[in-house]
Amino acid sequence: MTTDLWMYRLSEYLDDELTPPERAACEAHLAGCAECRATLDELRRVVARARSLEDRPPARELWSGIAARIGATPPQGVPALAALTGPEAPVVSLDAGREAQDARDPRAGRRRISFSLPQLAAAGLALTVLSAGATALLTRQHPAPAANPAAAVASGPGAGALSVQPAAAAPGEAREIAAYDRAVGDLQQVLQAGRGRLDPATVRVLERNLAVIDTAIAEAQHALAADPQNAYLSTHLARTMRQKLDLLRRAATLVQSS
Amino acid sequence: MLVLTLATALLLPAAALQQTTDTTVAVQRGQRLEVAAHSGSITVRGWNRNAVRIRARTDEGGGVDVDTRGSRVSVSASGRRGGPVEVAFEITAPAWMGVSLSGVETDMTVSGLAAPVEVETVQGGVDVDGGVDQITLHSVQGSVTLRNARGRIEVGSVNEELRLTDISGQVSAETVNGDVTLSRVTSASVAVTTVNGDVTFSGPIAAGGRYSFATHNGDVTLELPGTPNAGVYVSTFQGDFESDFPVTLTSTRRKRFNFTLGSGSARIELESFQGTIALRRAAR
Repeated sequence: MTTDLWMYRLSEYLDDELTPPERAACEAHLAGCAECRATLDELRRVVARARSLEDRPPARELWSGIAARIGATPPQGVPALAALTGPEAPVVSLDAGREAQDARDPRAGRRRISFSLPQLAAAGLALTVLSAGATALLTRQHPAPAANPAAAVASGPGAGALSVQPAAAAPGEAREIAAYDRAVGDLQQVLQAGRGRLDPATVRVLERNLAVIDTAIAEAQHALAADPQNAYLSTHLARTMRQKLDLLRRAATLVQSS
Repeated sequence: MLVLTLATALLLPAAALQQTTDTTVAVQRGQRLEVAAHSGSITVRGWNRNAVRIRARTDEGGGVDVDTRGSRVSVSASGRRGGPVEVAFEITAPAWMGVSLSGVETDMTVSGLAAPVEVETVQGGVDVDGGVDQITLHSVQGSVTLRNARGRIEVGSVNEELRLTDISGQVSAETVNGDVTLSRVTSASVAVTTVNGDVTFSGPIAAGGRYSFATHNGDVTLELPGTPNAGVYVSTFQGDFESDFPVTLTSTRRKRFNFTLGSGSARIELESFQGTIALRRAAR
């Protein structure tokens, strides 16, 4: 097995899911491969960070940076971000987007239709996690449609939030996927609530490109369902999911600054 | 310190609201130029004088603000009531002066600078010729073109193509719905991603370099001179692979495989979900 194939399987090693012979071979390889050791260390850090994300408000220093970036002109009904700098930050209702969200997304009745500003900040953290190299870990065991009917990707402008029932994945994995789901959902609600403040042409472009990404995500998921051991598909899906977060974050920034 | 508010037209009929501003301010090395225009265009050209000349034209009245306090020279325009205004800025700045341009419905053009360049627009194209050190160019709805630049280069769009020519340095390029074309790029670090578009690269492969090219729905084509020394990692789901170079597979699993060209010191990752991946030998 080459270096790179072992690198593809480091998350399995981390999760203690290799067979004993595979684990021994992997450890032998790690002993001689600095690149794989570095990647493994990064994966460990990312996993630790992802698990600490849940329900934890961001540090003040981080939050002040995010507030400065997105909080210049909060949407109508949303308190100024500058006043919301701690864990006491209230939950903000975004009812403006609720009806449309409910109509598009049958899961909406089970989801929060409001979010706290720290959670919005956590969306940024989740993005960092995804881009830091944990994407393969996040999606490797993400249940693909055919393999696990409980997981689905919605369609339309609100698509892409991954619906995962707790029983479908191990707790740590479900938490990581849920963090992504929540990040996408929160950012979509920012876009939905603020779409009236953007030029209609820009809204159309953003939605068209979100649809392009959603199509790619769906195709990658279907491919992964057919070939669940395909490391390329896992990585590709993860990258495409990250691109969706990137675009949503950018759209949210546009909303907040317009 | 210099703060200028130039030429405000008030209570004039629309036909009389065309406003032209032309002013020049002295600048010192170390200062940075920041220009903001909500809509219209910003054009910056380099020259060899330690001064910034600002010409602005608006058809809606309003004024141009020039602020030279501290390390920045800030230029912006506002309408008669302080709101956004469409303006055409033509600015000449020292070639050494770093620039930061921002706008919403704004086309951006920069040329003749040997300095950092940062551009951010939403509905507008970006065209930059020159630039060194940190070069960051982003648009949402417009294409991004960069020529004759070197340094750490980050370019991005959402709905249009990215085109980089005669570039050296670390390159990162990402779009969603557009092609990415890198021509005559000399770099040891290149990362390109698009979702719906072709990726094309031409340039030498540096020893120990890392190159990553990925698309979902499009082709990936590399045009390489000489005999590259690289480990090549190819991944596709429904696509094809073509090579002008002799390939001996060292590992294969369905449509994922890798092979070595020359000494293999660099690493090239090529990924297309459903397009053709091609390695072409550059014409001499």
